[in-house]
Amino acid sequence: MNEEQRIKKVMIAIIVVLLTAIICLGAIILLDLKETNKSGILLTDEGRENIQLKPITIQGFSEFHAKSDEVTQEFTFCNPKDNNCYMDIEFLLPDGTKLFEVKRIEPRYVIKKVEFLKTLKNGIYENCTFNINCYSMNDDSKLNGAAMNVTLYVR
Amino acid sequence: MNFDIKKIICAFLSLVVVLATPVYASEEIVSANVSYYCDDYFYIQIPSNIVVGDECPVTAVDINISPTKTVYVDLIGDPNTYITIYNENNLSESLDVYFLNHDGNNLEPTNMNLVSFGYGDNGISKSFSTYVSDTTGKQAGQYTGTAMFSIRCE
Repeated sequence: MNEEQRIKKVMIAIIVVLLTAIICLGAIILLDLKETNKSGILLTDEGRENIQLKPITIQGFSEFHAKSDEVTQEFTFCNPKDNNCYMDIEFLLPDGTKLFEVKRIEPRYVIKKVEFLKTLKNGIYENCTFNINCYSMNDDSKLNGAAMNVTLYVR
Repeated sequence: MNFDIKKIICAFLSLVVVLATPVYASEEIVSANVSYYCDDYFYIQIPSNIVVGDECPVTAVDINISPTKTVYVDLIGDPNTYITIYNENNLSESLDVYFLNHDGNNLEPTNMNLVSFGYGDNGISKSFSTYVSDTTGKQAGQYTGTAMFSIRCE
């Protein structure tokens, strides 16, 4: 009976040690994740765990159709729900003129319309740039982003 | 009376024959082409952060493009084939991060492509990697920066 009790105590001690180790490891990983989230590119210190954050899903397109001489335009763009970042978007004409911008689009939000900063005449505007800048939802630090080459058709 | 009925039937049949006769001379077949082009769209997953030295996956989450087109993910250098990252404690200290494309080759000014995806590549992941050339004499500490990727469908 005494032997059984001793084995039981040893088993309980082992389980407690294992649970403590698991909790500590989890806390370390969480802390490291928070720290890694500070920027898009990180040069790791010696001995530091390498942890990749959740990737950013970006909606891509290559053409944009707009109406001539109108400010309000239909334009669908979403920050997919799986993302963990805000998105700032801006559309630049080939000469660098900003056509519109929308800031801090939260995950799962969809834009249906945008307001052009200037009206455009009929034509095909090649080599426009659509910039997507991403920001951490934890500390608003800048993450990696993307830019797209878009052809704007105005009719 | 019988004569009248015959006359009426004859007149009716004549009218039916006349109406049923096709008028070939005035027939005109007009055809019109109906077409509609669905724009290409795609969803690409890029890494939100890059740990220098690690493999960085880029994933084609959903690709709906013409079979003749390809989605290219390029690095936008500043303005070279590398990205500069800065010491968080001393912004005058910097390191250059170089990129290796999916095939393990260094990027070139004329070819900044990291990975590319074709028609039907849904769910496919391709990786690129990074390295720093020389850290000799560089101040200790954490260096950070961001990368911009150019995504184009051509």
